[in-house]
Amino acid sequence: MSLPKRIVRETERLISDPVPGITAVPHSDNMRYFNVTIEGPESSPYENGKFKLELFLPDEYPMVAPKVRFLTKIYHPNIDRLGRICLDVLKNNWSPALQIRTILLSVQALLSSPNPDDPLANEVAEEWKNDNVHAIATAREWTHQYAN
Amino acid sequence: MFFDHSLQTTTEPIVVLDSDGDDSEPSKNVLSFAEFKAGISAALGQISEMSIHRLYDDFLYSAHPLEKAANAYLDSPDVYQITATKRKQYVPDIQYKKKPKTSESTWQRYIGTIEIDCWCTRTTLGSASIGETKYVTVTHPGHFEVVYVDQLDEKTGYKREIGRFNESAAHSVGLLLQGHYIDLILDPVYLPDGILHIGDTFIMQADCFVTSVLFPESVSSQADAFTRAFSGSKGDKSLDDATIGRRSGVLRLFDLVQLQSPQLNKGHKVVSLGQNLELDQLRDLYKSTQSNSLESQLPETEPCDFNLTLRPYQKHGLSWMLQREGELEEVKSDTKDDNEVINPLWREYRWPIAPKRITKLVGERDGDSNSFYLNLYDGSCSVEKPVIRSDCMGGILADEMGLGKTITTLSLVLKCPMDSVDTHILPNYAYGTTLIVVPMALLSQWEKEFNRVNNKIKNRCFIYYGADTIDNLKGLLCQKGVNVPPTVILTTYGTIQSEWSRLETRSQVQGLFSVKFFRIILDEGHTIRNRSTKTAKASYSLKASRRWLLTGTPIVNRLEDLYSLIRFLEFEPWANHSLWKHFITAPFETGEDLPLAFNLLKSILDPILLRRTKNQRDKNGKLLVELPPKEVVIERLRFNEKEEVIYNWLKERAVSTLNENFRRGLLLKNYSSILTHLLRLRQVCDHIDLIKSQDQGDPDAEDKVVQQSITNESDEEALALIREIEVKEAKGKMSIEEMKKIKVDIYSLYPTLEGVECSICTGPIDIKSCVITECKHCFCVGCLKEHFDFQESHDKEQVLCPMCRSEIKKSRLFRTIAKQFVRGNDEKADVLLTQVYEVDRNYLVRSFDPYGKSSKINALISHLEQIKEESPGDHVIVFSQFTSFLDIVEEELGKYGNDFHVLKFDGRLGMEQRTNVLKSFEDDDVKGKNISVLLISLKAGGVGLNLTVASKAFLLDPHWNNAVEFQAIDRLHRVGQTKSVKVIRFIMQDSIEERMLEIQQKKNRLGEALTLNDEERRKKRIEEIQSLFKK
Repeated sequence: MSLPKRIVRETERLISDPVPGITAVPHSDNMRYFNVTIEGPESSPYENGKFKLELFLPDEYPMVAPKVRFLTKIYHPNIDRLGRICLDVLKNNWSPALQIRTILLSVQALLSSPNPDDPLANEVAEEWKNDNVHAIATAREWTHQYAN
Repeated sequence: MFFDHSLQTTTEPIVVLDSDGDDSEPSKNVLSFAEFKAGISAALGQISEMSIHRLYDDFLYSAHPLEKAANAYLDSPDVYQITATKRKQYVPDIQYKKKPKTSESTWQRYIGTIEIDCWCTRTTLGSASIGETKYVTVTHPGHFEVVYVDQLDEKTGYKREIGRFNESAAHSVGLLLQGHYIDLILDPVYLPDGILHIGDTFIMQADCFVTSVLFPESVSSQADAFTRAFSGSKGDKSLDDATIGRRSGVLRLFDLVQLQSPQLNKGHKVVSLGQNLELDQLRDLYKSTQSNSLESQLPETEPCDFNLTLRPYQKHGLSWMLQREGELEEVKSDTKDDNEVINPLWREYRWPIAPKRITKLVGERDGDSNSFYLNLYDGSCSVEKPVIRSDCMGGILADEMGLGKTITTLSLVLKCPMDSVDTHILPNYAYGTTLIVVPMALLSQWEKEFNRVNNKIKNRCFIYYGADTIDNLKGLLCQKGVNVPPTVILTTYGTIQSEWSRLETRSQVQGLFSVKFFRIILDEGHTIRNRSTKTAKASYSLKASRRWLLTGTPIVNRLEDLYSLIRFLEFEPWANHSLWKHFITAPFETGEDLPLAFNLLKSILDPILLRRTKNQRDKNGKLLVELPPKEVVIERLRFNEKEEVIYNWLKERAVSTLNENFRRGLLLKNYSSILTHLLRLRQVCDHIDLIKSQDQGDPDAEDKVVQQSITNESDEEALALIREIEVKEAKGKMSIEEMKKIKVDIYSLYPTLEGVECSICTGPIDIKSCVITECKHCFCVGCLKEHFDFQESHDKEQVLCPMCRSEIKKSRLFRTIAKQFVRGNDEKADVLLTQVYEVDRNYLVRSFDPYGKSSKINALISHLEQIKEESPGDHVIVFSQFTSFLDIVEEELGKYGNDFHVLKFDGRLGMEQRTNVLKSFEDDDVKGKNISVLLISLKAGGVGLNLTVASKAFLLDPHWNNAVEFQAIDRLHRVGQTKSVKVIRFIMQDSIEERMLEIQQKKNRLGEALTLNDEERRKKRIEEIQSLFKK
């Protein structure tokens, strides 16, 4: 199956006009599969970290959201041990008007503002709520340890 | 070497050694003609001289000449009871042989040499023993296919049979020899010395000569003869055996001696028509030749008592018509003989050069021409070139629509309103009246035209229709001097047909059929194309000195159509149906002799048919009629979802019924049920509501049968299906006010659509496929549809706008269209447009309702709105075949209040109403920004009407025959039209309508059109239907 025009256009634009702090490079043998890196946002516990993710565009894209997963271990209430992300625009709030670029920006924003009230990693979320300082320190430590 | 055949019939007695197997007693004495005549007259009484000659010729050498002759005379009256006129058809002119002084009219000419195998019938000595011997042929009196070879002693006149021609040779020449059409000079090629035994073979070289007997005095008398031969006999077997025998004999002989015919060679090269001859080519036939030369041949005749100035080509037309009526001096000069068309019944043959051994013959005609002509019909020949001449007064004026046939015709009527010569030949001769028969819809138009062009009070027009019929027409028209009869009587086809039907029951002939008119003109003459209809028969029965047909399309479907026209014109000899069938329709059907038939057809039509087309040019290179350009566009529309569901459902039903019937072999039997299915499918293409109503307006006769079985089971189910869908969609539609408000918002939000992206595909949006949501976000139609589909298929209760996540509904969408509908070549128009609409927007917003109205109505309305904005005050015509669809369109357009001024014209209107509707449409000076729309049923308004006030038209549905559609288009595109004409034909994509377009293409093939009988046509139709359901 040939690649839909939209995916081609998005890919071209990701390369020609990249988002600061984010790279997304398609696999050479599967243009629907992207290797993604996101830099940890400034003044967040993930600052200076470089997180690897994988992004896959299903056949029904853009009617359905892309599948995005962290490959790098990260300490975050909305991201579980397997790297799965709890983010509304990746689920119910997906709209075909959203794109790879905007989704990755949303993920980056999620790093800046974790939402422990809608957790995916329950233990992390508990820690985040009960001992915020310690939680942030752990996140910083993980970042230093895994995301370099 | 030459032996004159007359020796056989010389009055001197010749003693013959006869060995005729039938005659036991050889006769020694031969009767003189005088004796024979006396004897035969005694036996048979007074019989014609011709008969006696013939009998004498045939039975002179019989054992009992008188007895046999008398018996033959009584037994075969066809052959021997010859009257003077009959003689010309096939009986040899024996006269000259008796009187050598008529030598100038008797002659022979060499046509070639053949070798003939013979076999010996009596033991005889070979050539050497005989020395200088002549050989002659003698045919058996009763059996012409037996030819004897006799030795002749010139001095004694003794003849002695030595053998016979073999059968095939005898078969070829026997009859011709017997009739003295040809002569043979025999010379032995192979004749062994010594004794020839019975059964031995010898070969004779035969120099063949045609004699003047084969060349009747004049071509025209010959033509008369075969006309008579045809009219006298009924059915196909119209020639007597002798003539048929002569024809085939001559053809065989000419073939044997290898006579050269330039026509045959030429025929192969020039006419390579094959069986795939298309109707278009046939149309070219009368498009082509004559009219160009006409201009140089004919003067321009000025009309008289006429209010209008005729165009030059109309003046030529008038001249031509006058010429056809014999009112004009024959313009043709005899210098153009070479160009004259040879009657295609005849074939040209070149005289061969005689070899030197053939010495000059008695009465031989030499050198005066290189060719002679064979009549392929009766086998006679002519040295004169036979040219078709038509002597019927009248013809077919087949100018393309819009060239003013009516005007030209009226100018003829006024120029020559009455018979100036034969005013009193009959007591019931309406010498000063022209009867014009027109379709009912055109009656008032003709009257209007007449009153417009006529400027003499004494010329008047009488409408013979409805209550205004008169039984005593004779009293009105034929009383000379009492009061001036009306110049023109206008009546309708319906009137003549009903009067004709009444003829049978009434003892006394009254009305139109009681008088002989000076002239009859049938307008839209193709009305009578089917010769078995009452209307056609009625038209044949009308009596007149001059007969005219006006038609834009002389051939609608089949060549038979043309026959009926010629029959009406009484154009002899072609008005004879068996002749027509034999020479025209049969060759076209079988494909044999096609080039010949084609040429024949051309030469039949050439003199009696005048056709000019709009794009023809006059001698100055100007178009005959400068009409503004015409553009016909097919706009393919997609079904909306509801339509698609129902269409597919109906189609499935139809296919399964069809297959079922086909399996059981009942396809033809259940023809009407198939037509119902077809009708349903076509209706859904227009509007699904048409299934609910019982449409009566469909034009096809077959479909009318269908109407009776209108609500059958499947229809009930279809209706249930529709109801189900309708319940679903009942919720929330936008009011027109709401819509207008949102439109304004959209216009202000998007001054242009340039650079606007569809957020779903991230591509730029094309104006043609842009959908705007209620929340004013733009998407491609396809993208948004995919979004809707995906959401629905995942059972989402609400569908949200991808951009703003507010709820969006299919029933509340808009779409845009480009603003270029009426942009002619005219730049001024563009300037005007921009002045009127200061906004530089290049698009317009329409409501987009993939469920609501039918796709066609949606498309129509968006076009109309566009027209309204771009050229307010315009007049638009909308054609459909379904009057109930027009009703729906009328209702839908009515919702737009004053935007559209809608009028409707269909078969349900009476005459007066029709006139009123047309008048109010014409006079409709729509004020302000509104436009005037005339809805016309294709059947009622497809012909005749003049709708030049409008320049835009929509054909909502295709017809099986696209000529009908083009006729409709020509209502607008005709003389008087000042604007460029734009026509849009709506076709539903992937539906039966696309198949219909394909069939329209095929229909143009002549092969299709020529299929003769109804059964075959039905079968063809079935094939068509099967192809319709394929895929």
